[in-house]
Amino acid sequence: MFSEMDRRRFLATTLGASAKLAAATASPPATADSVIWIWLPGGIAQTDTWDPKSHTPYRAGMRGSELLGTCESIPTAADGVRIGAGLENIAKVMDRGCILRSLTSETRFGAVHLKAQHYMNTGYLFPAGVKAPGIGAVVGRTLGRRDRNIPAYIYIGRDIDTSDEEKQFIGEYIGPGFYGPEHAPFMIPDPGSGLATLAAAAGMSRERLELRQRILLRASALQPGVKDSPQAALWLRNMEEARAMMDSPVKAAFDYHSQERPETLRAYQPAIGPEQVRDKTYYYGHRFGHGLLLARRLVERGARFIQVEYQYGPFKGFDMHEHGRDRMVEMKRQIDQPISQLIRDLDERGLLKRTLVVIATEFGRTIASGRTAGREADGFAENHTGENLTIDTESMYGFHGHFSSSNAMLFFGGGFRQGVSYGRTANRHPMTVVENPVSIVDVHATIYRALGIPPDTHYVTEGRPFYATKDGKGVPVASLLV
Amino acid sequence: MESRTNAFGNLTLLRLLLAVPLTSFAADLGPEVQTMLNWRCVGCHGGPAPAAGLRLDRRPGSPVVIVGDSSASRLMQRVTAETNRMPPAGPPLSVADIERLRAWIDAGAPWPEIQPAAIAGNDPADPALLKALAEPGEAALIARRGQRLARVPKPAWPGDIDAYILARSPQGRLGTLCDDSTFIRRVYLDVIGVIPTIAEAREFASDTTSGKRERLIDRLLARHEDYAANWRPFWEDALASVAYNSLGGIPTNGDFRDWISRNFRDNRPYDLMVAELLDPAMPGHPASTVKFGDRTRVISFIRNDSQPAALMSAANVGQVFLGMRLKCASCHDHMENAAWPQSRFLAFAGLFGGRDMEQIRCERSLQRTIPASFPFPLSGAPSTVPVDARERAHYAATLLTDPANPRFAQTIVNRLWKRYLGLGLHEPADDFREDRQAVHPELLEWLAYDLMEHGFDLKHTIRRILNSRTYQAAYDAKLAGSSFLSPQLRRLTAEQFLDSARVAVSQRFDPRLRLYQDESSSALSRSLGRPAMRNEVSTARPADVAVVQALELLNGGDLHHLIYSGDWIEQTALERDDGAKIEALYWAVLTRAPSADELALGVRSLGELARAGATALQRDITWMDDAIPESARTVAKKEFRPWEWIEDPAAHGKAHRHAGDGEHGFELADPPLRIDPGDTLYSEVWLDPRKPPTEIGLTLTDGVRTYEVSWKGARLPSPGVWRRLEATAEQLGAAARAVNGARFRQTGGVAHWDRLGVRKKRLDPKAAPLGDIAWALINSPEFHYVQ
Repeated sequence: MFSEMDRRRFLATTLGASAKLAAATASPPATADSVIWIWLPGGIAQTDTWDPKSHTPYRAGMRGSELLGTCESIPTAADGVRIGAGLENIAKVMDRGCILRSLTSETRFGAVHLKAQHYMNTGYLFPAGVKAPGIGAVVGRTLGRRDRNIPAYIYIGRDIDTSDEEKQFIGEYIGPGFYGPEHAPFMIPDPGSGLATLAAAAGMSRERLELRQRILLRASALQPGVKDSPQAALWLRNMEEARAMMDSPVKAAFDYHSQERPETLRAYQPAIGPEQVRDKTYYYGHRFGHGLLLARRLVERGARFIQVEYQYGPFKGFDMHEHGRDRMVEMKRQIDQPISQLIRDLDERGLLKRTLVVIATEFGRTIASGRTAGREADGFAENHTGENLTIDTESMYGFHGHFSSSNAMLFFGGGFRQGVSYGRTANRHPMTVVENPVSIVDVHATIYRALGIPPDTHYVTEGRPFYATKDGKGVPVASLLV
Repeated sequence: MESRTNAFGNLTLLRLLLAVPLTSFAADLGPEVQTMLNWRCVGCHGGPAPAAGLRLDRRPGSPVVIVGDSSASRLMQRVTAETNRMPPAGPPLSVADIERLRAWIDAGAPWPEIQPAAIAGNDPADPALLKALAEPGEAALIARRGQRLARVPKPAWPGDIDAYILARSPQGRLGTLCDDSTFIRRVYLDVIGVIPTIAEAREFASDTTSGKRERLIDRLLARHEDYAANWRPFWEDALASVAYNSLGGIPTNGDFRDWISRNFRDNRPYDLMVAELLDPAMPGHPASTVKFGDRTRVISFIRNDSQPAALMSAANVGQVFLGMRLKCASCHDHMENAAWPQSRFLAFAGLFGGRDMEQIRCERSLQRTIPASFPFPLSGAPSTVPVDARERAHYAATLLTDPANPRFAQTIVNRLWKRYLGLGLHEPADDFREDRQAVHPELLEWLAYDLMEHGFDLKHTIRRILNSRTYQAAYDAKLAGSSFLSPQLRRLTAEQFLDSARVAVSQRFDPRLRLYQDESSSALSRSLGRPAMRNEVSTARPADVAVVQALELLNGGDLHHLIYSGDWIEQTALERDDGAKIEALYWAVLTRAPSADELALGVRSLGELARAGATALQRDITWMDDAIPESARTVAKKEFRPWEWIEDPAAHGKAHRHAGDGEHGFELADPPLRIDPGDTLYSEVWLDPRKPPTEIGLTLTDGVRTYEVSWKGARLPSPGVWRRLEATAEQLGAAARAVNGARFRQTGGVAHWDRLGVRKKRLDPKAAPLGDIAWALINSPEFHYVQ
């Protein structure tokens, strides 16, 4: 039997050191070791959430210009920082959070979600000329694993085994780009099922699995010619590393159903059931909530970068083109409790200090151009005052237009300031940024700074350097950091 | 980070700056305004059917432009209007553009005719080439080949491939000739992309006549469909082919799958194929038009609807067909290749962009355009570049594929060499550089000339390489390198690996089951390097190993099922003695006999596995239980019933009820359910004993075809008890299909339905130990690499 000792010795002699920093310049010390990137695609109405304006209740025939918020704002645990009603739980942990309200983009994405999502996840406009890696792949490749058995980049909550072209496109921008499969995320579509390939297929017994693995190693050692190649050595080392991961603590992280208390499991569930959501053809956040719980457990065991997605679907979830008020209420009830619980749990365990939690969406929202929302020309929203829009049915009441010029983002812990908001947007339409505009590229640079990754970190492809931030020129936003 | 000052804040300053100098140099405004109009307006107001009948690719007349009176000119009114402002898409014209336009009209709207650019090479134009330029189509291209080739000095004959390699061998000899079994596996994978069956391998081994390798090469090259199938993934990657013209509103390069298959199946001459890809005037030019909002866009390998798209297209052409990495010269001079300043690239891009390119250096316009020109000196080429976009594309395609431009042929023969030997004569194969010589420049030149001399017949060059002693050398880790005394180990592509694993365990080659035809992406195929999406051209798959990939191979359901359902494994395991099983398995998987040690290891392992209780476990995939699949939707057609979910204590949770004639169902489930040969579809059903239906049925659909099975009369299950209905993939006619919808049909009566799913075919438990050894051999380095 190939024992655990044998395996360790085998790996110890053959495995290289963990990834090295490919940085060109020195960097200040890191303030974070791990990232949980909470990805809420669809385009969240920032005015109903992180950047509330005055609430204007529905009135048939109201002007678009009057509609600045579909809910009241509420105070939070952070002095002077208010957020939209319906986020009462997150409000209680806002003393640990930092809201960026002035994220903006010169590129007008118009109707195209995918381009904006690509930009937010890679920091490069599509097409970038080469396959751009997602931020998780950049962090994973540059910093390597924190724990030798826990993959550096883990992605929870999205299923991309599909022939659907939009989903396949998404698989690219969250992927490793030109870095190749070695830096691809470990995909965990459903946290409840865990990472299926960490368990033996079809319930194969451990003894048999060991035997099979030993036959692989022994038979390979007898193969003429190829056995002497560097490729064969690398190949077998890799197969052994995967086998070792099956016995590692990362596997235990997935077993949250039996290891967490029932009240904890409940706390990570959405506060709304499948019967209560308006659109019964979509899901109601159950995978998302438990995805956050799994992310916490993985960070506790040494994960580096985890992205948790509220699975994107066109016209679903946060992508609202009608009934914006009612659907926003539903969406808040799905995310409010799990996110706040994640922050509290990390804080209680002393992990929030070195774990950065990011909440992001691809763009903000504004009022639509007319009854059929979502077909606005690129740049339309940036000049739209809403004067000539009449809201004459409740289904039109909400933020149904895409808005590239204004977006909000949240950061908790990991060396970001706490209990503050940064940047300001106009209090009338168009609600563009009026103070401290920040680009996505600079946000990436700020996150990289917290992790100790210089913005000009680069890897060469096709004979040229490709940087972590565009042209290596991202500038960290000092005001967001402690 | 881009940062721009607010244009409105600087309006006054800008007026001051612009007003004086611009009016006094009005003639300079012409090209700038033309470029701006080309850039922002000519997309609609140009071409064969300009919007509103207005052309802005030539000087517009009154009332659009009233010379000397900008404020009365409709053009000015429209670009500054509050409503219905032009251009309708994209940002409004910048203040600077508007001021420039105003100054231009007021200064008399000068419209200089664009001077055609001169290209390198000043000798008199070649009549053969002029004819090809004047007469688009295949005939003229073929006719000019010979005459044009005559202008290229014939490279010195290097003997043949082997004589050449031998002459430069540091050892003074060639590598050892590989044995027959290595050869047959190598050549099968290289030509048709799958390993041979045992029968094919044995037949080859038992052939003792001379010339059998050459005959095998010919036989494989004559399997046209299979040969094309092995090429298709490479070209899908290289052309960034995707199945859709639009991805969530983003235009793609288009879908070339059928075009690739056709061209390689028919072994079209390579020059014609590429000319056809690039030149809209060629009859078989692959392109389609798609509406994006209210704009119509042409989707093809060359996209020129914006300057960035045109630059990207030109860089793609350069990379794939001329072995030049030029992307970084799009924005500035090439950083590490002094031969490519930005202007040389922009001149090249202007050939494909349909117009001369504006020089924008690192996002700042230099306010000038670079005249288009072909980047290499080309003897006898006409010195004028056509102005018309279509004529330009034809000009570009004709010069690019011209035999007097040997770089074109060198790029492809270098790719072939790399494909079959693992290392190019020039590396990187995408980056031919004047400052970096090929390892064997004479051989490269000669192979390129030889390809052209044989009418760009790729199979001719492939045949030459495969028949060489150099190709047929045994792998030797110590010799593998640029001396080509041993080939490199080459990693199987995802397609080759999965198709070959299927052949190994079933001993059947079924072209319909090949991975390249499967549009969906899976964790297994992605981890093996098959891209989920092709947004960028790529001529190489990543060869690296990764833990995520190893985990898929160890435990992933897809590969497990593929290996542990193989008919041939089962038969062999049940019929033969242990030694014969191992012997056969080595032939099936590795195309060779096991050594004595390997045989002993295999036999011993079979015993150990049997004692460890190796069994193949049942694997059911439940597709639907208690709700329709998450992503699916109810079939909402008029004749369909709604879903009626009921609590039925005897069912697993909920059941869905149907009363009376008709059907109910779901569609558009994603991911689809894959049904492999040997699988069994099942659904549970309970018929009401008071009112049993007279017929029930299931229909599966993949969105195009439907697969039906019915039960009636004596075949109806007994009423009053839950029964499991089963139908094999073969009964349904749905083997090797991926279905995304299901319908439940019924005539009269009441039925309750429950779980719908597929039971995967599995090995007889007694065959599981051999399955485990098959798994080990399939995941050994010898199987994953071409040796």
